[in-house]
Amino acid sequence: MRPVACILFIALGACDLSEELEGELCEVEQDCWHKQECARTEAERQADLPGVCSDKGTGCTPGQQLGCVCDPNDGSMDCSYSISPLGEEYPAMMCEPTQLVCVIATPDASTEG
Amino acid sequence: MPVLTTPVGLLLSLQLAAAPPAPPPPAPGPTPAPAGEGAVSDLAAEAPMPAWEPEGGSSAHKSTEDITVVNKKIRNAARGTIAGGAVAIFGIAAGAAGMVMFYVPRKQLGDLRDKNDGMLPPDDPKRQRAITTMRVAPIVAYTGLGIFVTGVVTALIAGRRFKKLREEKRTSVAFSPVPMYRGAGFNAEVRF
Repeated sequence: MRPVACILFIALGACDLSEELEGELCEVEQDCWHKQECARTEAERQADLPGVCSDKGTGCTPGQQLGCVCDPNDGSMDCSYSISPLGEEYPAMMCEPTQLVCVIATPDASTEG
Repeated sequence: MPVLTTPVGLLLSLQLAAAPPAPPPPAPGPTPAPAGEGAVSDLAAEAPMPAWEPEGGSSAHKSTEDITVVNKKIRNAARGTIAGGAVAIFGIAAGAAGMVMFYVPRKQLGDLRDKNDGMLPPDDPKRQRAITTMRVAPIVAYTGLGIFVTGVVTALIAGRRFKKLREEKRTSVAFSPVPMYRGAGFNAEVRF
């Protein structure tokens, strides 16, 4: 049904792959739609982890991506879970209290938390 | 009676010689025949001239060009019609290809997702090719549509011109009664 809608609404520019690629793993910009960017932080790059496709200008998702800003007092931004579809393959994170960025959780920090 | 015959002959000769010459023929005057011809001429002048009734309608037979020039124009119009049709076919093929290109990338991405546990593999050539194909699809589709429209318009214009020129070239015949001296005739004009 979507290809038919794609053909019908192509004149309005409504036909693209941005919905299909939203939140998908990426390593380069070519992995995403041209209206999106591959949001991959430097920390993820160093850890050899893929980023995710998101709308251009969005940047990394706060509190849900390694190396991105976080807020330990906000449950949705305290790095407790990742936006990456890797799930359990994505390393566990914690919000670093001094720099307020998501970092890989150390066993000590986990037990402390 | 030979004595008598000689003087009689002589007298006859003299009488004939002395006789006044025959009067000259009368000067040509009005004769009854020319009066009749004049009436016929008037009728001929008043006779209606039939208008051409071309086969192709009132627009036909306006051209007085050389037949070779007309033939060349007809050939060019025919070529234009064929070329327009070919362009239209090419355009519709390109448009159809563009439409297919809308469908294929989604299917490729779906297959890739199925093979990788529901996730698209990053930095994968197939994934990037599907995305590129999807981006090119509207360009191909709209270009094909434009080519199709151009071809159809060209074929229609050239086809109409071809038909008009061919009808102009067709033979036409006009018939008309013509009054003639001592009767009437039947006039036929043929135009090639």
